[in-house]
This record gives sequence, structure tokens and C-alpha cells, in this order.
Amino acid sequence: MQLFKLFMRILKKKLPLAMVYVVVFMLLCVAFSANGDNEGSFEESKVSVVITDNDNTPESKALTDYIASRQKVVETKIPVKDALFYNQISFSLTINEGYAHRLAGGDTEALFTQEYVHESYGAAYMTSFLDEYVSCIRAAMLSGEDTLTAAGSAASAMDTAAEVEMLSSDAGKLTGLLSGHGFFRYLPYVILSVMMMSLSSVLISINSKEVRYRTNCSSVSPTSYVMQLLGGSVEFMLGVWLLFMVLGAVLEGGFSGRGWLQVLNSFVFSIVATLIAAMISLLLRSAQAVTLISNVVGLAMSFISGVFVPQSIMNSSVLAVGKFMPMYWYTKANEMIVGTEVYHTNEYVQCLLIQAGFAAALAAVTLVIFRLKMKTNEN
Amino acid sequence: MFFNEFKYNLLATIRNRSFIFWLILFPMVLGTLFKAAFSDVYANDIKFSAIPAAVVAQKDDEAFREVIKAVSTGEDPLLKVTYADKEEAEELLKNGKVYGILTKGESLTLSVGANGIEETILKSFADRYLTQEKLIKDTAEKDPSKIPALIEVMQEETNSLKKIRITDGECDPLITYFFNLLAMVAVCSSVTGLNIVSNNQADQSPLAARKGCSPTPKLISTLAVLGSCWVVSSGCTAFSVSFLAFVLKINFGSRLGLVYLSTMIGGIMGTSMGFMIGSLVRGSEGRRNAAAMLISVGGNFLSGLMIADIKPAIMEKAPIVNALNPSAVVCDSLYYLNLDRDYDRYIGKLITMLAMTVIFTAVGFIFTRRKKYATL
Repeated sequence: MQLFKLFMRILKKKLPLAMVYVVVFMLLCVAFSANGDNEGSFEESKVSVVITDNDNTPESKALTDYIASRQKVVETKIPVKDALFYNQISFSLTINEGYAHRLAGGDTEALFTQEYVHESYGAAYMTSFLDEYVSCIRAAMLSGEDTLTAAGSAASAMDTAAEVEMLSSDAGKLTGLLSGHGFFRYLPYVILSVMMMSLSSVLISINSKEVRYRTNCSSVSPTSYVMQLLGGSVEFMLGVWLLFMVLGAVLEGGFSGRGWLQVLNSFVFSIVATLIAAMISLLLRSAQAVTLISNVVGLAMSFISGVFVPQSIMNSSVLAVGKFMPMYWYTKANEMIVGTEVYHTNEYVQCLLIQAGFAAALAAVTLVIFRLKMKTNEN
Repeated sequence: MFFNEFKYNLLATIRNRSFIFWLILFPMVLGTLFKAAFSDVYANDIKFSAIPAAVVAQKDDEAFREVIKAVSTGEDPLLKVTYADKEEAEELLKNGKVYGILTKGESLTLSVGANGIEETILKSFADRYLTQEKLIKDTAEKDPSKIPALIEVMQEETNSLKKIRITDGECDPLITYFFNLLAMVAVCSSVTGLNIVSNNQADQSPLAARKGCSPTPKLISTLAVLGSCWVVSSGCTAFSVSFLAFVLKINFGSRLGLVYLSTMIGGIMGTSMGFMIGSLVRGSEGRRNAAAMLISVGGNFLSGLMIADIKPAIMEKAPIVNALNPSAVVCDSLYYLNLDRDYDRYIGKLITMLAMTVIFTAVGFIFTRRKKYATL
């Protein structure tokens, strides 16, 4: 067990760097978990609106109050332009001077001004909202009401609410950039990075020319050599995976139902990540190169496979390339589990099998490279 | 003497593989990945497009069909409608093909699968339809003669909203990732700045010890090395801008020359920051490298390289952090150049960068001068 002990001793030295990834990842997960979703009954989204009232009349105040009762009227500390660009607010509304006077005269042209940076959903909603409000006031004024009374009537009329039924849907529960937010979405990037940063570095040290020559002339047989390294790698992989599952259970409040499918998915991916790290250790010569390559490989796989940006909103050509990466299939399975895509058990199993296939292929290639290296050294 | 040192340090820096990787290759890879991942996000997720909805018409209602036609056709349609029966519509909703089902029977009802702005827009459409229906019914009860006028008012375009676009720049918020990428290259140039200390402080490297006993004045030697590092870092940032603008076709607008200017000044500032860190942090080269990387990467994080939403949060809660963070200063200069029509805020950031460069360089010189070594 000399080699196994050596493996663990070197691993201990490499762990602090890997732990940086774990700590940063956990902090980010806590930040993201604050955006929880409540899917029990339908709730209207409220649009963040900044209002500038240049008319300052009872009518304009009535409008401001009505918007405040239906939407989220905010005051922003940063310039409106910046807040619009960064989507901190969805709509910048100015009630133009002469609003009440012109409305009373039946002139509805340019009563409001909207400053915008891009056409967002919130802006489209507010445009329709204001249009309806003005139409309702004009309708109320037909029956002889003055503008202020008509504003009250318009607000009452607009409170007519359609009946909304919440159906159970397997898809669309979480859409957009934050879809599938949380622990399991970013987990493959972190597992792969931790594995490459620590395991690859350890294996490079053990497989370095001088150390291996010394091991070769010792009483340790080649089979025992491989088995001890395999044992160390498996133990490390299980340790890392278990650590993440415990942390995940704490963050997610335990696993239940489909949560266990995520656990299984992450286990299969951990095996793949271990084999990628092992293969990289045979292809590179220095720990410095591992740092460079692990950054590139980890980020490249994650971006192309849809870890950082959900697959549902990614470019199809990029996703076509992503299909050649195991992380793509992990993410696809995860998106089905969290509801961004429709869940089908057979497709989930297919994703697991494809990852297992990648693991088998990586194991075969790693063994071939290892044997070739051994042969080269023998000659 | 100056040009000799300048030339050889320039060559040595260019031949350093680690610098080349972090300042040229890594930004190229990261930029390509950003481009690949974010290319369709704006169109698919941020910019408004017609909302897919299923319509189940339980009875033939010509007026309702006309309304649906009106909102689903034209230049900027609100809805993308699919007529279906109840089962088909539910299947479409279940599979995520539509955001909601509008069912027209005696009344108009909506079925959705989730909460969201798309579903809210569908509800507002249904609410508006019911409001208008109610107003017509009420008018019919009170004074039927006013119905034609009411319908005319309801159908008339109000044109109440005048829209003003307040920028001529790229409006995709994800472009800030590319600004941050350039800021990263600029600030990570600090690794070249560390070399100024390593190559000139006699207790830091054999090369510096040899230079220490040469007849070249230390000021000349340090200036030569600093100058060559400035050339390398500004060259690397210029290369990154060229790669993003001409290979990845990132839209930096019509003021590309100023993008080059601010990132190159950013690179010079990053190098000077490295010079300052190298002069302040005592100990091994590894420790100085770690300090430089910590400040650079930490600054990049706070500037929004990893999570773009951090930037506006800091702008609102702690603007002083943005003002003092070198990464944020570089990123903001590019952001203002993109968003603003005038140059006021851009020039402010440019002046900040220049001031930071002067301060960092001055601190670097102050803490590296007049060193004496009892032993080496």
C-alpha cells in the first residue's frame, strides 16, 4: 500500500486549491438559492416602473397611484439609463406636462414618454397597460364623467380579472437565464475542476519519470501499481461526491422524489470527471499545465454544454457540438428533472447511459495511453 | 542602456509562455465561449417577441376571432396563436410549446403552467378583453345609443406612449461580459508588472542581483523594464480587442478607436498595479503572484465577469467599490462608451485610469528605491 499512501499524502497538499472551488461554489449556490420559485397558484408578475410626473395634477396622481397598486413603482439610485440596461427596472415612464388637460380634450397623442434601451417583456406589458387605461378613461368620459371621475371608473373597470387556472405542466416552470438555478446546475463544472486540479496533479507527480522509474524497480507489480492508483482515485472521487451531496442536501433541505435522480446523475458524472482527470494527467507533464488546461477544459465544456446558460435558450449549432461532451447529457438530464424541459424517464435513462458510454470510452483510452507510456519507458 | 534593457525585457516577456497564455490565449478561448453560449440569449430570453398561446374556441365567436387576429398579426404582434381543441392545447402547454391556453366559452378563461411575465401578459390580454366586454354590456343596459361610439373609442389607437430610445449602442446586456473580459486582460497584466520588481530588486532573482552591480542607474533600468511591460500589456489588450471585434464580430459600435484607447490604458494601469503590488508584498515570487491574482480576479468578480448582476447591485449599494476597483473602471469606460451618446462619463473613467496609473507607478518607485542588501 506504499503507493496508495503516497497518493493520499500528495493529495493532501493539493486539496487547498481544490477547496477554493468548493467554497466559492457554495457561496454562489447560497446566493442563487435566494431566488426560490413558488408554483402553487398563479401570481401576476409585477413590473418595476420608475415614474416621473411632469403634470402633477390630481389626474396624473390618480394614474401614479393606480400603477403603484398594480405594479412595483421604484426609485433607483443609479441613473435610469443604467437601470434599464441592467434590467434593474423594466419601464421608465414620464407623465408629460398637460396630461390631464389634453385627456379632457380627447387628445391622447403622446400623453406619456417611455425611455427605453431594449424592448423587454415588462415594457410590452406596461405599453398595453397604459393603452388600456387611456381607452377606459375615454370610454368612461363618453357617459359624461369628468376626467378625474373617469380615471376612477377606468381603474375599477381594469380590475376585472379573468379566471386563471394553474395546470400541472412539466415544462416552462423555470425559463430564462436563471432556469434550473441551484446546486445541481453548476455542480458538473465544480466537480470537473476539483478533479482536474487535484487528482490530475497527484497522478502527474506519481507518474513523473523519476518517481515511476523508482517504482518500477521496486517490488510493486504493475497490476498492484494500477490498482493502488485506481483505489486512491475511486476513494477520492467518492469522497468529493459525498461531500457535495451532503452540502447539496443542506442547501436544498434534503432530497426527495426526482431529487434522487439528480443525485444519481451527479454520481455518474463524477465517474466521467474522474476519468477525464486521469486521462489529462497522462497527457500533461507539469502541474502548471494542469492549471491552464483544467481552466480551459472546465469552462469550455460548461459553456458549450449549457451549464452556465440553459440549453433551452442556446444556439442550436453550439448545442450540436455540445452533444459530443458528457456534460451536455448531464445538463440535459438535469434540465428535465428541474422542469425546464419535459421529463421522460426513458430519455433520462438514455442520458445516464450516454454518460456511462463516455466513461467506458475514456477508461479505454486512458488505459491505452497508460500502457503506451509504460512501453515507451521500458524501451 | 535604456533601449538595451527595454529590448531584452520586451523579448523575455513575449517569450514567457505563461504570460502569453493568460493575456492572449485564455481571453481568446473565453471570448469564443462567451460568444458561443450567449449568441442567442438576447433574442430568445430578453428581447420581447410574440408570446406563444393556444386558443380553444368552444363556440364560434366571430368578434373574439377578430380580436385574436388583431393581436397576433401586424408588425409587432403580441401573441403567436395556435388554435386547438382542449386536449391538444393541454398537450402543447404540458410540452412547453405555449405559455397559456385562452379558452373562449361563455367567458374568457386562461390556463397556465407557471408564473412569469409571459403568463402575466396573457392574463392582461384576457383581462382587457373582459373589461371591454363588460363596458359594452353596461353601456347596452344604460344607454344603447352610445354603443357605436364606445366601440369606436375602444378600437381606436390611442398612441398615448411616445417611445424614446436613449442609446445608440448595443443594447444586449450580455455584452458586458465582453467588456469584463477586456477588463480582465487589462488588470491581469499585473503579472507582467510583478516582473519589474523581480528583475530589479537584487534580493529577488539572480538576474536582478547581476543587474544591481551593473553601472546602469536603477531608475533607468526600472523605467526600461516598466516601459517594455507597458508595451506588452497594451499590445495584449489591443490584440484581444481586435480578436473580439474582427473575429468574433462583437459589436463595439462606431467608436472602436476609443475602445482600443481605453483598454490599452487599462493594460498600462494593470501593469503599474502589478509593479506596486510587487513592491509592497514582501516574500517569495509565489506570494506576490498570489496577491496580484487575488486582487485581479477579485476585482473581476466584483466587476461582473462571473455574474453580471453583481455590477448593478454594487453600483447601487456601494458605488465607491466601483470607483476604486480597477477592473470596474476599465469595464465602465467601455460600458459608457457603448451606452452614452456623449463622452462625459467615459472621459471621467479615462482620467481615473490615468490617475491610478500615476499613483500605482509612484508607489512602486517609492517602495523599490534606495534598497541596500547586507547579504544576498
